[in-house]
Parts: sequence; C-alpha cells; structure tokens
Amino acid sequence: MRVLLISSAYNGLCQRVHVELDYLGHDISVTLALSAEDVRKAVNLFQPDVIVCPFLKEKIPKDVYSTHHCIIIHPGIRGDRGPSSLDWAIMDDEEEWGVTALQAVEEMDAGDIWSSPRFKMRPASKASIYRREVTHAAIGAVVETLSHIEAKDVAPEPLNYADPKIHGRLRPLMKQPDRCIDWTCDNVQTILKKIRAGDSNPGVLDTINGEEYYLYGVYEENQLQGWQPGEIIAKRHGAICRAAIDGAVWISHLKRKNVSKQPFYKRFFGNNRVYDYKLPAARILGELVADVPESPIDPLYMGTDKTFKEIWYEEENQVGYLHFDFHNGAMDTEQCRRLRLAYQIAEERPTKVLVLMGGTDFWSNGIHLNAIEAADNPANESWRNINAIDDVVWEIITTQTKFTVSAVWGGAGAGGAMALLAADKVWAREGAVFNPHYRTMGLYGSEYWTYSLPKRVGPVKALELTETPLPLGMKKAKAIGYIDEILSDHYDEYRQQVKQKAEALACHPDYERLLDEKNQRRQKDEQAKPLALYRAAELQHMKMNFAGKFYGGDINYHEARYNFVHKVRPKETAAYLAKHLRVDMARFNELRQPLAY
Amino acid sequence: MFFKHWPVLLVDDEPDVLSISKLAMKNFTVYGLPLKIYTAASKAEAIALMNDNVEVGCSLAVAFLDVVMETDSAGLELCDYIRNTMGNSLTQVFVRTGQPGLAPEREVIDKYDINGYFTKMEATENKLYSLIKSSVRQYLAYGMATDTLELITQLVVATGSRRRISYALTSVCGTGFDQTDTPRWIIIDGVLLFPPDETDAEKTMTILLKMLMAREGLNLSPEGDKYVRDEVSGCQLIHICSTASKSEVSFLFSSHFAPPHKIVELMYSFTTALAIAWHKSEES
Repeated sequence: MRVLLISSAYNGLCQRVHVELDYLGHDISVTLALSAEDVRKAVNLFQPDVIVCPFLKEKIPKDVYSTHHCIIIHPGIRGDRGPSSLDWAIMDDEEEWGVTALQAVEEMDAGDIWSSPRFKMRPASKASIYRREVTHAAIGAVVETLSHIEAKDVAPEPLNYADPKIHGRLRPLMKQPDRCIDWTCDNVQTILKKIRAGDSNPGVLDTINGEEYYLYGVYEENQLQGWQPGEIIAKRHGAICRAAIDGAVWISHLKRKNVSKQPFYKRFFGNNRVYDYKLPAARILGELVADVPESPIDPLYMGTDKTFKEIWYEEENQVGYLHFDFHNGAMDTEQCRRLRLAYQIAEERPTKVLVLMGGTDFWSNGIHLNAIEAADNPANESWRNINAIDDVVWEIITTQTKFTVSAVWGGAGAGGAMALLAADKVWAREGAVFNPHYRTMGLYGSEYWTYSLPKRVGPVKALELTETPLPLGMKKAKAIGYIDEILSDHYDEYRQQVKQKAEALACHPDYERLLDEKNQRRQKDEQAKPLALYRAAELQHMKMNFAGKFYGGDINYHEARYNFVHKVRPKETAAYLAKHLRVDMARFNELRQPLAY
Repeated sequence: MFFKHWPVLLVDDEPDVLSISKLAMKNFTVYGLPLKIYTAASKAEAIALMNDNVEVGCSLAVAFLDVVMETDSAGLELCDYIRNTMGNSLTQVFVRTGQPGLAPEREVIDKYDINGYFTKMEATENKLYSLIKSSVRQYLAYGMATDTLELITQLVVATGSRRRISYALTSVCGTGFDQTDTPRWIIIDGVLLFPPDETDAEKTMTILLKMLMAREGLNLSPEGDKYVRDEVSGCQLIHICSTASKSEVSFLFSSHFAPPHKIVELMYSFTTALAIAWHKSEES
C-alpha cells in the first residue's frame, strides 16, 4: 500500500513506523505537519491509500481525512482523549496503559477505533515509556490496522462511553499547577512521579533561589539527606541533589523559564549568553551551587544503591556489563573522559567478555550538542568532544585481552551509531533504530567510522548509509552486516539473551584461539593502515567543519546545531523523507531541494 | 584567508626560554596580523593542548619544539605526533635544541618532516623574526593551495547536481560562529546561495556587492572577471562573468588582511571552477 506518514516531527516513533512499514513492503512517504497546505500538497502528490499519523499535535484538514483512510496513533487506552494522556497515566499511578489507533474525525481522538493494545506501566519518565512501551504497542497497532484496511475484513469500532469496557475518558491538558511540587509535603515518590510525568516535555516548573526553572531527569537517592526540604544538598557530575521530607532526589537537568529566543545572528553579537535550553542542573545554576559539596562516586560504580549514576558496572560468570546511561544519549567531553576511565578499569577486570550496555533509552547519540552550544567557544568544545569520544572508541577497538560486545537496547544516532561498531560483536534489540549518519548536522563524522563501517557493511553500503540520512531498522541492519544478532523486544527476555550469549562466548571451547584470531586481524588491519591515519583523515574533514580558516568554517554545522538545540522546526520536509516531493521534483524542476535538515 | 591572528605554539621545558621567546615575538606581525602564542612545557602538555583547543589542533601556523624535554627525544616524538598521528602536514615545525649533540641536525632533518632546525644559541630575535615571517607566508600559501585543490576536487565530484555542489560549498559560505566579522557569501546568477534568516544581513550583502561591482578592480581575464578590494572595510569580491560555458558567480568576503596576489589567484581558480560546475549541473 502507499502509506503517507504525517507527523509533527520525525521523532523516534515516526522513524520506527517508517522503518517497519518500509520493511513490510509498503511504499512510504513522510511529511511534517508544518501547515495544512503542506499536508494537502503531500496528499495530492503522493495519493496515498492510507495516511498514518504516529505523532501529531496539529489537526488534519477535513478535506484530507474525509477522503482518505486517516489513522491517528494516540498514546492512551481505549476511550482516553486529550493532549496529556501519558502525563495523567503516570500521575494517576495507572498500572496498565495503552495505545489506540483511531480514525481521524473532526473531534480530536474521538474517531472509530481500529486497534488498542495495552502494556504494563513502568516507573520511568514519560519519554522513556514513550520510547519503549508506547512505541512497541504503536507498531503493533499500526501493523494490525493496516492489515485490516488492506484485507477489508474488520470495521473499526465506534467509541461508545456507555460500554463498560471503556475505561478511558477525556482529560484536559495537564498544566503546571497540576504538576507543581510542594517540597514541604510531597514525599520522594510523589516528587519522582511529578517530574517523570513531565519529562522530557514540558518539565515541572519550580523555583530555586527566586528564579523559575523546569526540572528534568529525576533519580531516587537513599543515602544523602538534608534538613530543609527543597534545599540543594549535593551535586554530582552536573546533577543536583535536593532534600525531600522523607529522603532526597537527584535532578539532572534544568531549563530556565522565560528566556526570549534569539535569532541566529544576534546571539553572536551579545556578550550575555542565555541558556534557554536544557542543560545539566549545576551548569545552569552556576555560582549558586559553587559551595554545594560534590558527592563523589566510583569511576566504575559497582554498588546497588539508589542514586544518580551515569556509569555503572556488573559482573557475572566472567562477563562484565558496562552501563553508560547519559541523558538522551549525548556524551559531552567530561562524560567521554569518565567513560574512557571506566572502560579502562573494566578492561583490567578478570573477565573474558565485556558487554557495553549503553543506556536505557539510547546506547549513545554521540557528541553533546547542547553542551557545545552552551560553551564559550562552540568550535573549540566540538573539537574537544570529538577527540574525547574518539579516545573512547580507540580503547574499545584496541582491546586485546577480551571480547567486546555492544548490546544495544535503546537507539543510537550519529557518532553513537558508529561508536558501537568498535566492539567485536553487535547485538541489538529488534525494535532499535539507528541513525548512522552525520549529514543532518552538517558534519563529516569521526569515531573511526571510516574504519569500522566499511569493514562491516562494505564501502558501497557505507556511503549509502552516511549520504542518505534515513533511519536503519534492525532487520535491514542484520541483512547488511551492520549488526550480528537481533534480540528480543521485551526487556527481561533481552537481558536474558544478552547474558546467555555473552556467557556462551566467554565459555567458548575455542575462546583462546578466537581471541588470538581477533588480535591478528587487528594487527593486520593496523599494518595495512594504522588507526591513527583513519582518525587523522576524519579529523582533517572535521577541521573544515569546526575551524576552517583558509576558506571558511561550516555554516551548516553551527546553524544545524543551533536549530537542534533550540528545537527550531524545519521550514520544509527534507526531500530524503518526502518521497512525494521527489516525484514532484522530477516533474517540476523548479522546486529547490532543501539541504539536509 | 580568514585568520584574525597567526597561532604559534612554543614547546619548551625551560620557563625562561618560553617567556623570553614570547616577549621577543610579542610585536611581530605578518600581513599586518599579530601572533597568538600558545605555550606548553612538555610533549604531553602540547598534545593535551592540541586535543583541547581547536585553534592549536586545527589551525596552528608555526610550532617551535624543544627536543630534550621529558625524554631525550620528546620534541621529535611530538613532531611525529603532529605529522603522523594528527595528519597535519601544514604547520611549519621548527626544532630548536640546547643540546645539538643529542639530536644532530642532519639526522633530525633526514628522519623527521620538519621545516627547520636551529640551536638555542642561534635563536636571536632577528632569526625568530625572519623565521616567523617566512613560515607564516609559507603556511598560508600551502594551506590555501591545499584547500583550493580539495574544494575543486569536491566540485568536480559534485558536478551534475547543484544540490551536491551546495553541500560541497557549506564549508566556504559562512556568517556563523567566529565569522561575523569575516562573512563570506556566494552569489550565483544573482541568487545568494545560503540566504541568512535575517533580511538586514542580506541587505548589507547587497549594498557591499553593488559598491564593489561598481569599481574597476584588478582584471583577471579577458571576459572581464575581476578582483576588487575595499581598503577601508576589508571587503573583497571575486567576480566571474557569465559566458556560454559558465555561470555568473560573485564570491564576496571580508578578511583581516590584504591577500598577496598568489592567494587571490587561488581563490579565483576555485570561483571559476564553481562557475563552470554550476553551469553544467541540474537542480537535483
């Protein structure tokens, strides 16, 4: 079928739907819902059989939904309606929640229901539940709906609130007063719930030292305590620990309220830097937390305490598991350096296999664009960050004493999607999505990708993957050799599979021979072309991006980074997504193809 | 071409040598631009600085390396690091040593890719002055030539698709970070390639272009291609006239110094290649 995806943004869910439907053989085009006119144009040019809206905040024009099958994915159970479904589900401690695929009608979320799978809720942030449970259920709902539409075997069920099976209801937009934390009476569990319900958007508005901030990234703390609820009692790696009435919580990120957006030009002239985007809490607060004590943590943390930890390690049956869970998968210079240190310590452990587990939502997304944007000299910080991440990758590639495995549960993008190839084996969850390209950020890319990517997929595919900034699903990734194994989409099963496979590798009867072969291969590669040369050549290209002084620096990278950090919506859907525009282009040559973002 | 100063790195484990050299070089200028002097007291410190500072890592014009620091050959190893590990063949590297017995001149120059060797005794202010002048000139000319060649190669590869040419040019056009006082614009057949978001920036460009186009400048070809420089603002224009085989291209930019003729010629080659490539390409 010809399926048009209409989405407010090309987010993780939209990417996954794109990848899955493409794999099922449907003809897919994507348009961002930038205006009603854009949507109409896309529908007219592409003439879809079905329209699917995986993530849509805007209304679809009546003339579109009245003439086409138009399916809306709503992150709520049957009967649930409104723009804050997941927020309310978290806030109300729902044990089960769901996703509904509905027919678009005039009234928001009130159309006939095609499918409504349910899932168990997990104590996690809204974004995390959206990326894991909602996405998994939504894919099921979309696939089921499309098969019904194609087979014309089932009609959608009308929404009938008189039906006792319908538990959902219309809920209003959750506003800041609903989210507000009262530090004098809210306990730790309530604070966790409130922040999670608003994470990653819009955040919970709170006052610190007279200024208003949105709070994000909350973690429980079971050791530290303070006398004054709300007081900042410790900081660690940019996060702050605040006392509550029955314990303490860590808050990793803040965003300042009410900073007017600066246009691209003006921000360079002004001296007063304003951070109107999400950054590590201590960085935003600056001087205010200068005297707050730093709460140290082992570089390779092996404890089980509830606390704020970005890097931790487990070990069992000669297998080490190194977790690195950085906010949104972005790794700044410091985090890369800490990860490198942790890796070096883990490498020294008496294990035979080291599994790089990444984080819960993302394995890694490469360099930290927000931190770079906030730096006094972004070009300088980009350079430091790239070098630091390259150092991590170098450690992994040159590991001789054991096998390394990248076990990818969450997604991976840009440098992160290349860094995971440094390991000897790559196993990924079935539903993971990679974005192994740098083009949308206007960069050439580093992380030794010119070594590891062609080695796995061959030079032709390597070029295809990096030139066309499209997401890569795991089935295709396996087929082209990007990954070695596809693992389960259910977390417990996935962990079990990782454990079994890693232990099998550690206990392999030919372990020593295999390890020897691996080291010989590396040695041979090094003789053919030293790793240092790959890095030097990649960085040579990056120099043009960061600090070209002979002809110029790269406007694309700096502007793309600004747009990414400030969530500026693109003016048009990129042509690599919008197949209908490509058709249009062939017919009408006057349409200019937009650049890569 | 868009330097504001010339980054120079001094590596020496004797603090006195560093401070005296710094003092001696304080007032040196090349093409009217001052030096920006970075110092490091050891090989390790210098490597850390290169990985930490984008200017030292990416745009270093000259490096003076002491040989004997943490080891007897630390400076030579550092030279090897710059050339081979960092893949930097542009920076003009000079080795200066207090113990020529440990690193004899011929042996060093045979084995390492350096641009010069001298003993600390020889390092007079005049010697440093002439070395800095000549090596920065060499650095600029070599860097411009290499980058021009690379850009022209990219244009040749991209010929056929204007979108791909635009990609290749993203590293040239810029009004972004670090470039507000040295903006660069490319206008092809009257259309600005990367229009800025704000109209006043485009207006400034239009006024500058008109002003420079009205002047005679330096004639570069019989078809009327020309180079114009406004002494006061530092604004420059390389203009390629449209013919049957090439588009009209204006490369408008501002730099902190007046480039020597050789550099103008290199930029002219690039602009001409662009005019031809663009003419031979389609939109998609």
